[in-house]
Amino acid sequence: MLKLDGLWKYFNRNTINEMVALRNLSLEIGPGEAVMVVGSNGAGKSTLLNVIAGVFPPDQGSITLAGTDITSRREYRRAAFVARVFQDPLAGTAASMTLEENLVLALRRGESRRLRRAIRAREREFFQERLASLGLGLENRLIEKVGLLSGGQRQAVALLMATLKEPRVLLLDEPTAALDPKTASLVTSLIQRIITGQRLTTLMVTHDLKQALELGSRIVMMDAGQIVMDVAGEEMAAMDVDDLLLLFEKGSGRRLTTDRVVLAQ
Amino acid sequence: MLLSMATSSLEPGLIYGLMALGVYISFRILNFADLTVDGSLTLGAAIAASVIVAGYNPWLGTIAALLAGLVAGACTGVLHAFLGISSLLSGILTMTGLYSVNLRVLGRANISLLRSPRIYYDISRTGLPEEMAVLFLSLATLVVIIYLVNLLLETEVGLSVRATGDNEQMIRSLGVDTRYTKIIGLSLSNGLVALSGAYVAQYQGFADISMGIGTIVAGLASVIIGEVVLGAGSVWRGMVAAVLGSFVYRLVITLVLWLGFKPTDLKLMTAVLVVLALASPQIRRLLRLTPREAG
Ligand SMILES: Nc1ncnc2c1ncn2[C@@H]1O[C@H](COP(=O)(O)OP(=O)(O)OP(=O)(O)O)[C@@H](O)[C@H]1O
Ligand SMILES: [Mg+2]
Repeated sequence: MLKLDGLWKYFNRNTINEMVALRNLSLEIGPGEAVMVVGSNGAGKSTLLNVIAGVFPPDQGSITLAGTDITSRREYRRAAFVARVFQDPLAGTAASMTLEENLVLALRRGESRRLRRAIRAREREFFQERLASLGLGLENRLIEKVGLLSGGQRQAVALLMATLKEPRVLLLDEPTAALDPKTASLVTSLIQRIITGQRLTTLMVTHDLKQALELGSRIVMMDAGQIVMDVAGEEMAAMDVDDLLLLFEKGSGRRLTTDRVVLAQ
Repeated sequence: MLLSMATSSLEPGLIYGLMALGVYISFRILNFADLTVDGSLTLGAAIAASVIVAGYNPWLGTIAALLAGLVAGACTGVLHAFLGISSLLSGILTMTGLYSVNLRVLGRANISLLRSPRIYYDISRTGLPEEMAVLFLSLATLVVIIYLVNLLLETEVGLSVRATGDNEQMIRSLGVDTRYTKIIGLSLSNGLVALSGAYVAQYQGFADISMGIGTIVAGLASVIIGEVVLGAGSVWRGMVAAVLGSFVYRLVITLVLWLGFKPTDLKLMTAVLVVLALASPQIRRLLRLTPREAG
């Protein structure tokens, strides 16, 4: 489904601050796979997602999605296939616009926008139905401004927006890291439902190894712009958080260091 | 006394209200402080005046002004979106360029319309009392424009423009090329400002090369005063607020002149007004802090 081949990404190339964020990274993801990306701070996880989404092009290497080379396609032209949710719960929605206006923008993801009335009764009904499935009571607040919702509610809406029109690939960058524990577990269960229910091809960055084991069908560990560990299937099913940490040390030759790794079992 | 001041502020309030609508679109909807308007107001006035003086129908001149404003706004949009020039500088560059264009259009520093036909005359010919013509026409124009702009902003394209001003990262990830939505918004904004310029020229009876100076500040003042009076809310409400703010702003000007200030003092007054309005959250915080600390 998604094939990354020999990706390199430099920041501040040829300056004193040169930084290699992706170092000859290759990864192939099959349809319906839920890949969890873990790794230390600065390992290049967000950069990887940004390169896939087309925020900036890789300096070398190619990205192929469903057989089409999309390496040099601009971000807005990839949106038809790629949907994403950001770490910042406020980044995925437009605060000054109403809930239904936000949703209709997402419903037309990747389509060319036309000069016709954006929201009609049909869309409204559909939105109410989908919002009701979140179980947050948002179905009655269609014409309220999104800025009035809480961070957790906004992240849930962003997640709904990402899947309102089914993408080929769903990119999630630490979608629960900025939420309080209760809201985080709510959003996690929504992600669970999307991954298992809709069987979307997903690439999700997380620092929560327990969450990675729960949600993923495959776990990829990154270090210094490279993949140092890749487990899936039965091998992964038999693992716990300690096994993962051990494996990381073997792969990278050092301990997994991040400010947010959740070691609790 | 106050009543006569209010009525005399009503006409310019409404006519410059069109300009305030334009500034509302760039400043509030697109989140873009666009200095082009200083040039595009004059552009609208210059085009309308020269078309009228050349003997054509004043409506033709007014529509030509609107179109020229659309183009001027698109220029700023292209400078910013395609050439990567900062928003402030893009506006300044277009505004500076427009100064030469406006002089070319006018042919000299000003054109008098005192003995020429104007759009307002057509209205008074329908039997409406002459002194009501300006009021009626500008009000009718505002109603139509607010209705149309609101309709436009509820389309898929319109929502994309609004989302560009609110959260560009999001709307780009949803597949919108924000270079074009910015150009659309700036174009629309400057079209309305130029239309306002055409109405102003025909109202005051002349077009003048320097009439646009300070337009951005007057526009911002109107938008902000409107928000203070009516509060921020939907786009529709924001637009009505901008027009109301424009009226209040003209009223303040009339008042200031009546208090004995010179017309040349007005720009400073307006700048101070905008500073006060923009800083009002900070000022309010300061005022609230004092009693809390005391108690
Ligand atoms: N826009 C940028 N300009 C310069 N350097 C950058 C930029 N974005 C990322 N980097 C650098 O590239 C490296 C990888 O960053 P990236 O954000 O991908 O890490 P990450 O794995 O997502 O880390 P975290 O867990 O902290 O989110 C870091 O060293 C970072 O400083
Ligand atoms: Mg990151």
